[in-house]
Amino acid sequence: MKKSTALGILATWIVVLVLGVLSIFVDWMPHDGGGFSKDVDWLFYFIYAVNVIFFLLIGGLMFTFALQGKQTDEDKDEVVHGATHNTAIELIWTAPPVIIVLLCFLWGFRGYLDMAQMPPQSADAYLVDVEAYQWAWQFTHENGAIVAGANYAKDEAGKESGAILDIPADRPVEFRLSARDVLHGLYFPHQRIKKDCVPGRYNRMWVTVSSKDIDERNAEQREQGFDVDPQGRFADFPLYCTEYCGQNHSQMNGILRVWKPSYWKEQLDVLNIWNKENETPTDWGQYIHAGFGGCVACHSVDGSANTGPTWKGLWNQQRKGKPVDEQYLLEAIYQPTKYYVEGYEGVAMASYAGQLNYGDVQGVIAYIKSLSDVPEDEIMQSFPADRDLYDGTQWIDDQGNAIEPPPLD
Amino acid sequence: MTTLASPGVHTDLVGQPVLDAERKHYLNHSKGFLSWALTLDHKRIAIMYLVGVLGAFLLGGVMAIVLRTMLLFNTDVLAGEAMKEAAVTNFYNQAFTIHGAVMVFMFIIPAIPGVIGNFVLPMMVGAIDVAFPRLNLMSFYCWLVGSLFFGAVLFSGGLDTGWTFYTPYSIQTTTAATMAVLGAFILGFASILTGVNFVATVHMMRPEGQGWFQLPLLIWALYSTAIIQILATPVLAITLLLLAAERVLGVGIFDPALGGDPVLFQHFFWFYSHPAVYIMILPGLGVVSEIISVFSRKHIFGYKFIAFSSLAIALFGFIVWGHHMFTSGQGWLLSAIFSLLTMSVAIPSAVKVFNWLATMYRGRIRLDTPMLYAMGFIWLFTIGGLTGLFLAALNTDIHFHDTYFVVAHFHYVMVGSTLFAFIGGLYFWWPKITGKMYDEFWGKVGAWTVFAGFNLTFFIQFLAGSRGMPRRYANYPDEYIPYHHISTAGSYLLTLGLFIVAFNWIHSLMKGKPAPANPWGANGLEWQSMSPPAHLNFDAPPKVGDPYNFDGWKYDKDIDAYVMKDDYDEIMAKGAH
Repeated sequence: MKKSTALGILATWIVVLVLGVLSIFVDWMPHDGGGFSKDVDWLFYFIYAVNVIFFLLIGGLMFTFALQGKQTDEDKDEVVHGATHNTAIELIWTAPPVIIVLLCFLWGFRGYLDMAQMPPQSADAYLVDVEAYQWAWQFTHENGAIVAGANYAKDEAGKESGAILDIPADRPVEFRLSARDVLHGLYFPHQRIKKDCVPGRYNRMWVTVSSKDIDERNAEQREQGFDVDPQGRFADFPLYCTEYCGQNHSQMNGILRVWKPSYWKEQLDVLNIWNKENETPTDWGQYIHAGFGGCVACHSVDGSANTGPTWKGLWNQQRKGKPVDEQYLLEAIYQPTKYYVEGYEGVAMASYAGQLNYGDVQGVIAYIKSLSDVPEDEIMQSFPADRDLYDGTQWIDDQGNAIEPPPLD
Repeated sequence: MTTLASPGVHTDLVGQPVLDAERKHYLNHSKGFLSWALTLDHKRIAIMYLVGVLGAFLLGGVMAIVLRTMLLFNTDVLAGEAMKEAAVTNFYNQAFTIHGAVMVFMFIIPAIPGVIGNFVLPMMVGAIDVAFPRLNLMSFYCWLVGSLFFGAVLFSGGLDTGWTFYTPYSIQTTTAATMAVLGAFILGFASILTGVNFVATVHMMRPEGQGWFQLPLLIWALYSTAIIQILATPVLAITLLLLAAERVLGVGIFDPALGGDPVLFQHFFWFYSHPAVYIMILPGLGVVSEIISVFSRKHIFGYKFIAFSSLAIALFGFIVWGHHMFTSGQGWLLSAIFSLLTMSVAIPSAVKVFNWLATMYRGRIRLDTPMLYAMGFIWLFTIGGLTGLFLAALNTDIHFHDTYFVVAHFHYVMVGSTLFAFIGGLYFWWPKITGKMYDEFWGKVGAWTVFAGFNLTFFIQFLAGSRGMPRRYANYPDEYIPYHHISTAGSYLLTLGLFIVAFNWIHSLMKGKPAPANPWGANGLEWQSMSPPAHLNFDAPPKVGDPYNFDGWKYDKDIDAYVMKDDYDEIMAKGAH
């Protein structure tokens, strides 16, 4: 063997060795946030070891053979004669892959059964109802508190907006998943669990996060220079939508906020108080906007631009020769594609018919009025009596009788 | 008119392209637009497919660069201008959809069967054409019409469903999903017709003495592919028609608002689209088996194991589709069965890799451009295959599903591997197809650049994905910035490498030396024709032998090519040893 060939082969195996050593130090998985992390990570690193060993062996051998037998100008005529088959060798080298894949399957299956088997309802499991829609999340808690939102953000004053999913620590939490319009997927990378939200069916998934996980997460976050709750009452983990759902799919990031048990009851009340405070139609409209209507995903209330027009100052604006009034807003909510606002052509808002009832729409209208400096005593003026209205399922006259729908203009 | 010498007479065989510029071959035997547009010649159809799929590859590639560049900026440049941000998000969603749909339906699926298969499969069995030349032409026109539908999609609202057309979003979207679905429907027929043709050709047109085990392994691979094309593609066709019916007529099949079931669509879709993954990769496996053996100057090791592993992959491929739906809410027992079945695909894949290595062992390795691509293929296919273990195992897949880990995995398998086999195969048969040699130096530079660019682009995506980065995100949390920056840099390097490949080919067409009949010393029947082949492929009936017994050819220094030995017949009769 020539010296250069030997050096080449040596270099190949040094590279293999270096890559092998380096592979040990790559931190593949996100921080362990409880849930199914331990199990998944164990299998991951087992398969990873299989990957690294097989890959480096195959790569190293391939380069070794290529260098060892490299053709020169002199031996172009040479044909190598050797064994063309050997059934014993074939069977022998088929065995390791068979054994390895069976191990992977069994290990993965065992872990998957834990994920698929819901905790018994009678236990201290906590249930959250999760409904996804374009493009926000709505979380309904056991005490009726509803929290909704889309992209999580925190402004400089520390005010938070967007989807926050509060759950208690140290007990199983079950999520009942559904979707209002198209497929979505709820994913907690730090707990290594995800499930699709499918319209027309309930899917279930569950996690348990411990108080210890909360402390570890906060320590890790503090180390990386992120703010954490000073009293360590809770820890935040990311949550993502993982099933492509249209335009703002990437704007459905939220926070999974896990509370230590001693603070959980208080937090549940905090979530609920917000519901009880929505007493006037304006409050109700504000709640629909930021909460379960999810309007906030597209319509701002401070004049800033978004997917849809802002609601600030919307009242009484001229839209294609018509003022924005109750009738306009009602139709814009139930038949959004009837009027396209200039500059927003092609932005397809889904109809809210069947989702917001007549009272809900009144709340939204009241809220829009309040954002346009309409005096408070005028906000509650009812709809003009001489107009036909759509109540979400049918058109009605001012007496409440069903009528033929008016022609679209 | 020169004498049509038997291929055994080497002076004519190798001397003619140089000596006789007037020689009639398939490229110049007739002229004019119609002589191409209405041709029944499998070689000309292959050339038309080549031009077509490279055009599709360019379109899909432009979209890839667009979306990688958008991810480089993470749409932050437009922060505060939310209306524009919405437009940018929509544009991103369209870019990844069109990238995926064009690459899958218009490039990867037809690339190797349509171009390399069409050109060499009939020649490998010593035939003058495929069994049904008119169906072959129709296949190309189905491809063309289907592609025109996709072209029309670009100008009529685009497409933002993802290439998977998942319901109910694909029913509700205002983009041109119906047109795209019809385009994919028509493209499916192109695939079916190619498959039918190959099966019939392999069964009916082999010459005397060429049994099933004297066929090159590429034919086994194309035959296995054809089975999938024939059996699976109709399922996609009916699924897409149902989707179109739902969109246009409001028939409730998949949309729960109409009483349908969206997960049913996923079952139907993956019943085709998982086997389709093997439509993409199997021909590549066949191409690599050819190159590895020829460039190792050594008989392929474990012929029957490689041949039957192709069939095994094709058959297993039909019963694993459910592994795309572990998170969809399908029952745990179903998921477990699909996981176990999926694992089985790993075994024939591993067998192939081991056999290639055994072939290279103690070979006389000729490190020319096709071999570099073949070795690159082994590298990428090994990574792609091994990372499949994470996705076949149930609980790790729950974590990785719909993250960049999956994106990296299928790019390694479908794109890296298939693209490398396609480019490597084109380089391998380039002298035969064009009658010109290419520049070896720039061929190697291109191969290394594409290899480096590909790995830089996609390896880092494994890490991004395992750390939780979801796929199909127009913008992403800050923690993923480094991964995306590296990946985008890699995609630019990959683009550079592909341009080197393209320029090398164009340079070869314009300035390349005339190619000898058999520059590599290969023993497939196609190398017994001249370069480029005559209109009817062979000037004399080719001699049949073991395709991996290279003893029948000897190297001729003057022409830098191999010529058939006078005692070829006796050598072949003795068999490989």
